[in-house]
Amino acid sequence: MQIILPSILGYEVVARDAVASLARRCGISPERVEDVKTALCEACTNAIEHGNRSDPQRKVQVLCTVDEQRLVIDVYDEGGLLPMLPHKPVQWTLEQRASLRGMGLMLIVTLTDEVSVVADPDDGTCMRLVFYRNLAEESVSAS
Amino acid sequence: MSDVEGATGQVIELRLPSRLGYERIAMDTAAALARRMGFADERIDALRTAIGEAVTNAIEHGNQADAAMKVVVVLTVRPDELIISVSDQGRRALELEQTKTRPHIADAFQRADKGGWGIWLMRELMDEVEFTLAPGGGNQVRMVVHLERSPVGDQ
Repeated sequence: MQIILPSILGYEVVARDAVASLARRCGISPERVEDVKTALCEACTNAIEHGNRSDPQRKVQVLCTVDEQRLVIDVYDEGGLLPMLPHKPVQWTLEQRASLRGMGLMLIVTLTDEVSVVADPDDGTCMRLVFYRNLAEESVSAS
Repeated sequence: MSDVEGATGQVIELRLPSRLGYERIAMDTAAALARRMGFADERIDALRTAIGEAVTNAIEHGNQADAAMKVVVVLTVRPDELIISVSDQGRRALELEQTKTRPHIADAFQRADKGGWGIWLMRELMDEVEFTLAPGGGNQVRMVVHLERSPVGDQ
């Protein structure tokens, strides 16, 4: 499944709702779906603001693949600032911060099971968010 | 969202595999978008049903449930309307005659799959419905719902 969005803040919630709908249907628990939504919103917001510099002509592409173990979400932008992922475990330094800006990448690292970034100077940046499926819960919810 | 849209509208594209179940994702996505645009609940329900029928048709008939073939849903947001276009890759073409007739109740009851109502439903539920050929040669249905804002404070 693929979603293509304009680089306008606000549209990330459309991608979030589409991916949440997919996540619920592939055996990810309701609490974990909330993590998927938060991480995806952060990744899309990054792609819109930093990757595409909020140029509405540039697109953000969200590509979801579901295999037996995982839900893999790739968020592509068309280039720009390269996000630098903090290493796990993340050190939370909330009290030192004036705002939550800049916390997005830390949130993503904390909430995902796996995360990686691939950057190509010509094609832009792709951030991959991976969530493990809980197949035992899926069989329960399907009955 | 509405202050940044030009006359042409902003476009969100959703590409789905032709596997039953994915129509639900199109329904949820469009409903979430429509809610943010300010559509009333009953219009959102109508929209969900119409998109569900259009995507199911595209999966089952147009693409013959071949999961490798894509169904493309394009949502165009304008200040006063939402345009939904659903296209398949046309493994089987829809005959235009089929898009015009009303199903006969007696015939519909005879059908084991309870099918045959989709296109009629779409026409009943949406403000505009048009069947054309997709740019890639498949079937395409374009549906429009107008946004009627109720006056503030109106119950």
